[in-house]
Amino acid sequence: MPDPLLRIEHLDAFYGDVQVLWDISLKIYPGEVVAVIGPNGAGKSTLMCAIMGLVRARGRGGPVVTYDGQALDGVSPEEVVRKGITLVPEGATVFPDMSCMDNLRLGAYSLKDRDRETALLEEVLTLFPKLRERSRQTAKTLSGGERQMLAIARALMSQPRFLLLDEPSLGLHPLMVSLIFENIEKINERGVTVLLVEQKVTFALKMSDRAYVLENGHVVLDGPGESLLGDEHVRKAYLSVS
Amino acid sequence: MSRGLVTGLVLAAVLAVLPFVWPGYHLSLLTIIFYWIGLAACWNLMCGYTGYIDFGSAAYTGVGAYVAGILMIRLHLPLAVSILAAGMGAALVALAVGWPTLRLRGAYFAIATFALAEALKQVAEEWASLTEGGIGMTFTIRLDEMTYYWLYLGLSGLVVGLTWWIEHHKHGYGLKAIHEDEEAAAQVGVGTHVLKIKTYALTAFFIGILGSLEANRLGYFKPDDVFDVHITIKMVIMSLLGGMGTVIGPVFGASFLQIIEDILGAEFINYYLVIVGVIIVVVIMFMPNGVARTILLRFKKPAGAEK
Amino acid sequence: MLFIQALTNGILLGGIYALYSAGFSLIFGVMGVVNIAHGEMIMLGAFTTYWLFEILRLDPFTTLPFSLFGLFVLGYLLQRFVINRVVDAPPIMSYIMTFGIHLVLANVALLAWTADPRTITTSYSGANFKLMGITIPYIKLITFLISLAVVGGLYWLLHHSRTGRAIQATAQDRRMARLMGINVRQIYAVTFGLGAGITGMAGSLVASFRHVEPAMGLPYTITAFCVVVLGGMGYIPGALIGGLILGVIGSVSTMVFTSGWSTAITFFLLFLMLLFRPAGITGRGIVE
Repeated sequence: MPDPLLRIEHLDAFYGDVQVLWDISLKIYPGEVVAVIGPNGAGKSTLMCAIMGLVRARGRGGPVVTYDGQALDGVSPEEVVRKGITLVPEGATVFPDMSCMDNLRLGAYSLKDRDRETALLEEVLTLFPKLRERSRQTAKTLSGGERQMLAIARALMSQPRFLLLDEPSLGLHPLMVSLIFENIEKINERGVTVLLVEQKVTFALKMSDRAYVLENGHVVLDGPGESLLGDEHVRKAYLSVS
Repeated sequence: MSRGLVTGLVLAAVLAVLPFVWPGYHLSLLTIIFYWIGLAACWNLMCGYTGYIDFGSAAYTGVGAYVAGILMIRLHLPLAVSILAAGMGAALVALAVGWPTLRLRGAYFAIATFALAEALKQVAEEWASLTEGGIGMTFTIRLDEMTYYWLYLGLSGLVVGLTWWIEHHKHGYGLKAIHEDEEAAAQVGVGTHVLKIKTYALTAFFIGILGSLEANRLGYFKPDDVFDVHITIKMVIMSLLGGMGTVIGPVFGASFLQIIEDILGAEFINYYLVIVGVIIVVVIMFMPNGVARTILLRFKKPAGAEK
Repeated sequence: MLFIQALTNGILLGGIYALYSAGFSLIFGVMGVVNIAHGEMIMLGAFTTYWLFEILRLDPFTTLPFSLFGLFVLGYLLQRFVINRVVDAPPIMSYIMTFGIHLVLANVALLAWTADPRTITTSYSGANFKLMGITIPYIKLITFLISLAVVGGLYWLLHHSRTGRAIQATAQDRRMARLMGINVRQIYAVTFGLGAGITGMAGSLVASFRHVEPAMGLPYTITAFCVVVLGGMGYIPGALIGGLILGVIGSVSTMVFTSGWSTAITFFLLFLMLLFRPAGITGRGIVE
């Protein structure tokens, strides 16, 4: 078993004075797709933010977040991005008043090798042909699904080793949802490790190698995606609706 | 409360009697100090509590001076009537200007009010048929030294008392809520726009009265004197240094600064403005959330925060 | 004919208005800071030109790179070490802080250089040429052209360079910008430096045809604000539009009313804009 790409140990995270996560520990191995599921308000987004350094986190002695053997404690979000971790936050957040093309170019801002930018643009536009059509349009004129694609495409422009996706299917039309998940699989096939926070539990568990269940800021369950699909608690809590 | 009231009354009595004990030069200094306490308290009441910075308060000393001047000198109206009208005039201008600007970001209010002061100065210079333009106006009817002192004492006490009252009553909670988080205040039902305008007009009223009295006391004034941006600057500095958003702040700020100015003399005004500027910048650099709030935060345990 | 002359004067003036307002708009648009010390950037640029002219006999137009560079550095350092502390604080703190900076800069200048107004007179100071009966002073024309070029250049920079895109991103969504790997603190400093630099250049240009004195700053801050409100706060092309409109209105009203009423008219215009259309004529201004 290779070393984990990302290791989180005994993480407590806060929004201001309010504690949102308690004693979170998890591991993610290179090449995996790992899902984090759980109800709203469980702290899933906070977990993502903690990895990126956007939210202050506390451990119990020792590094809290270790990436590729290096501790990420106290590293600024800009620096975390340069190390190869990219987050696509929830809500299809693109830069609304810039064109799609400019949004994508911005994604490549942190690239060490600037010459790669044109080649990457080609790759990304081939993966998401819809965006090629819309490349000159201002981002805010795109539909919800297109903006989500743009956000993911933009994230790819930074050539991440590790991609964090926060609710990529949120508010999207079912057809769009399948498309998005197909694309995530394609991205993973290219060697990008993926951590996925999702409400669409069935999709998430089906495509993930392993998953964690987060409730009220605690990890309550973890295991291979398929087996969690069959788990009693998971079925009762999350699958009767989804 | 009653202990404070007694101290207050004793203090008031002492201050009221002072002119008899300390006539002449000292009386003049005290008079000026209370004038500035009054002005600073007005500025503080508006800006310290709403968080909207006014850079054009001099507009109202000017409006006050000219309304009183025109009424008394041209129309021969009695002093008391003219002074009151001066305050009303200032309040009316404040209402007109406050209405569009106070519903926008603070930046708009700050510079719009500054522009107002400069614009009115120009109007006063140009409209010579009304205001005598650059030649200036001269009051023939004036009061005696001690009356001005008592008037300023009373007015500044009134404004400070008003500040105290507002701080402890509904109006004040509303204002402070606006200062903290305007959107939340609006959602909770605080009529933010109206509250801001009322406060602005109220303080403009007093500034107008003070401005008109001072113009009368000096006897002669020109547009440059009464619309001078340095008036506003002094008011701002006095409130800042004394402690914005507190009741007693302007009292200390105004007294302290005016005494320093008196000791150093007007030639040193540039030096002390530099020093004041540096102090302001340095203080804010190290306490960007304002002096009061930073001290408060020290007493809370930091559990974690968003970067 | 007199009207056409006034119109022309106004347009030429509008160019320089646009130049010294663009920096103000940029800084506000990107980091929400209203720079009360804005006029002092103009003043410092003007004095840079004056002293270089006085001491080294440099032609005023050749001093432009000096004020651009000098004010860029000053602005960068100011933002990085001083103003950056209030970017996340309540906006009122940035007004007070820049007010403090204004006090320091204006009064140190006053103490150092006295209040005497200075003028720059060159061999071509009064020269003009006639085009279809309209008199066009050379200095004003060159100033206008340079202003257009610089504002245009700024716009180009913002939309076609990596740093420019980073600046726009930071202005639109700061958190997201950080997630792109953008060092927001650095971008803020660069933006402020850029704004200060082009404003300094405007000051240098102004020195050729206006008096240079330490107290000159504040009226320019007001005008810059009015221009930017007209054109839309935070929208660079708006600075050009607002500048031209204000320039023309100022010029025409000078012709009609004599120069005395121009501030009052400008204010009245500002007042009307804030009342009816705070987002500016273009509607692209940041309002709340």
